[in-house]
Amino acid sequence: MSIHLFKPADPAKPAFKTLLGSQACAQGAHEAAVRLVTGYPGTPATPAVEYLLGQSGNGLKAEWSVNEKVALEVAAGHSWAGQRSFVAMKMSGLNVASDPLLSIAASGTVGGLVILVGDDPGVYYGMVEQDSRLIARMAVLPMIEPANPNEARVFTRMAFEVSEQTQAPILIRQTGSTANTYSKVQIDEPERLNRKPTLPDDLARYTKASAQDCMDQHAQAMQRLEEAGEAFDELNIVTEGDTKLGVIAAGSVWSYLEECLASRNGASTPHCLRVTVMNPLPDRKIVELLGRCKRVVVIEELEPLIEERVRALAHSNGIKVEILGKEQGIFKPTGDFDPELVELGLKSLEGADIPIEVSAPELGGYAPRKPTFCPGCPHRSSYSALNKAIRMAGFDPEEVMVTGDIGCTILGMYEPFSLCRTEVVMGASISLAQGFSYAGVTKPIIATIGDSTFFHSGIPALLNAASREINLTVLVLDNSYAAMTGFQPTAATQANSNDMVENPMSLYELSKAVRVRRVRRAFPYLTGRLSRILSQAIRSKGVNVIIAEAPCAARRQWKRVIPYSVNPNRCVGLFNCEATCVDATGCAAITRDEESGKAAIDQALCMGCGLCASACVEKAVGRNVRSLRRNGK
Amino acid sequence: MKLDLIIAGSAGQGVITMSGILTRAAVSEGYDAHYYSQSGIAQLEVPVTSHVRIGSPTAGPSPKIPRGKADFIAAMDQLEAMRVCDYLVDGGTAIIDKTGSIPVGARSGRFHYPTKEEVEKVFDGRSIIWVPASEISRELGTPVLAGAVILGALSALSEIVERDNIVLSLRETMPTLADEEAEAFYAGFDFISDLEG
Repeated sequence: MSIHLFKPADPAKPAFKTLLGSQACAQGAHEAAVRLVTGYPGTPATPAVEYLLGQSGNGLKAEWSVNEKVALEVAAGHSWAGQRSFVAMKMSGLNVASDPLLSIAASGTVGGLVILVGDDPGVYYGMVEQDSRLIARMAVLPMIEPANPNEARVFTRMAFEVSEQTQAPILIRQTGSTANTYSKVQIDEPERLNRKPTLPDDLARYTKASAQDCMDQHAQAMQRLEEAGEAFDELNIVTEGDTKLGVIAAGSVWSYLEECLASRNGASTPHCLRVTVMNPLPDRKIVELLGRCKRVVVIEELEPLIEERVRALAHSNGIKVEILGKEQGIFKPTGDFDPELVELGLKSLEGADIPIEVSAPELGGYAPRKPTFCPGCPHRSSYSALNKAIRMAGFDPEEVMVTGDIGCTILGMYEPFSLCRTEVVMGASISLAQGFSYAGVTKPIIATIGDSTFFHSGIPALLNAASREINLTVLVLDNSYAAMTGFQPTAATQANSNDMVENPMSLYELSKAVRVRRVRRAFPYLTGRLSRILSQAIRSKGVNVIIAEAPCAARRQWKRVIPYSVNPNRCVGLFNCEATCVDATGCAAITRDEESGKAAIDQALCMGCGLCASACVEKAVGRNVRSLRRNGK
Repeated sequence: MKLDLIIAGSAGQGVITMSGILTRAAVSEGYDAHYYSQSGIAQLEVPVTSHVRIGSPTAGPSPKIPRGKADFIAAMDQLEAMRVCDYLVDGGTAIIDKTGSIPVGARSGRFHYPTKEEVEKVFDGRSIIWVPASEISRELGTPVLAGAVILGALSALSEIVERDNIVLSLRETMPTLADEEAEAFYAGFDFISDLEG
């Protein structure tokens, strides 16, 4: 099945590009003459926004905003001035932006406003497993879901048309299997729009002036939703087949079904409805299918949103038909699907056992693969210093509360540091810590947070804590980037990047301005000094902010690196050592020499931070200052 | 013509880069091709799996290759090879870097890392070719070329995409180390050709 709604400029010579699903959405937005792109890093926003950052200029402005709420508001202002805007965020970001989302949805839009959101069934990116289709429903916003990169481009282009035609902001949902699929995509020249900005002049629509206005806005949003549903309805596709079985499959799951049906070589294929528009659901097509089929199975990941609607429609239309899905346990309510799971589900309809899960190889007995800091990461040194500081202050790390935050900095929860006990959402480390203080915890409370996370949502939490009489140490691990998502600049990044911040702010001055008890900066690689500063902060009253500043090791312009090496005459061998350098640092540059069994340091990976040298009990790790490695290569 | 390939490794080993090189090479030859990566958070040590599907006139519709249907598995180390072993079709071939990355936890001996025999056991008779990719890469002066060696080995075993197109795509993707990458690619290619005599 293929959808080609936009003919190429020269049908004889279509142009192609290989793109990720998320980039294809951005390409579609670009073709639709989008003028502003905003977002906050996280799949699928990262590749989408970066793709357009690479093409900005010539009437296209792209930026990494400070958080998703701000990104959406900036885009909405731009759209209300009559211009086309595109916003990208992950599902957690949509939660952050849900406050403006609901309000903007009530007012509608003028210029096209398209919001790309990624869901992550199977949790490959480590946040709450949620189904953002429910947010579309709550916000009364149309939502469509492409199943491959080609559709992503076409649907996005179409979304801009429908958004302006119905005045509804449009949500495009991608699950990981669409956003992270890289394929050949047909592309087209961008349209050209040259619009002058207009000012909104309708209080009843753009303000929340009265209860009546708000209720009117609600009704108008529902009206827009219905119109958008009709405009998108051609994307919900019926494939004629044997009506003994009707299959309703959603978005990304459709390709798994196609895979199963293709392998059935000639056997009769069921009557299928592919649901692409997740809000509003295609009631008319569902009822038609219910009326024609003997049994109907619904296949969708996460929430049984379509399934419940199908059951309700069968009931209210008085159609007696067997409806199968998550309620019978045929498909699981959590995790992502794959072709086998769909195949097993279909087989269970023919009498096979109901599957719960496709079995995976048993690897429990082997070494776990836990994420770890890169060699030379400043955070490794900072956490090492924090461990030392807690002991210097006269406490055991076991009795100290450390709240962690989102990003690379959360790796402080794993061995060898084992410090962070909690991870909630962006910025919550500081506010959560305040809660522990109110709960009567008298031992030290420490919040660790990265710089981008701090700007995203940590600032209000710090204001809140600083204005109260509580004892709290905030350790800001400032590496100048949103590193985990691929080194996007933050509001304070001074280094050159493709989204140069014109007026970088200062974390130090900001902390000073909120009048916390003490603000100190330190260079994390000098662990002795950092641990003394931290230990003093831990023992002090009030809110203390310690900023450990060093650029991300993967982004730093290393002028020279002096790698460490192991003296094999002193090393007793990793398996014989009581406290190994590997266990103390978790550094990937330290390997085990197969023949001698002794530690060895990979000269190409070592960044010369020296943590292993201070950890080695045999004093076997050292470096020759003349063994310079230029430019880190 | 169809080729389904699983590439497995851990973050930083170039699994996604390799998938991109192969996909672009196939597309440049006129194939329909796509890959899907389960990369997870972009941090060191995390397992990364990529599903590469190449076909003419169309590649398989699903981004994920069904288990038991992959023609090849290319694994950057033993543990990751085991994680994806059930994707390999009966009669398929696994190419495994026998000197790949050992998890930090296993380096100090606290955890067990699978031996060659254990890997062969889970592959249950399906063919395994051990390629010393990391070793070859280090001999060429840097550890980062292991992926190119594996791509070379893969190209020698499967003839679906022209060797020269893969090299071209490799050079375009890795402009700063283009010559070294190409050399590593041919080293992997020759390793297999020598095996086959």
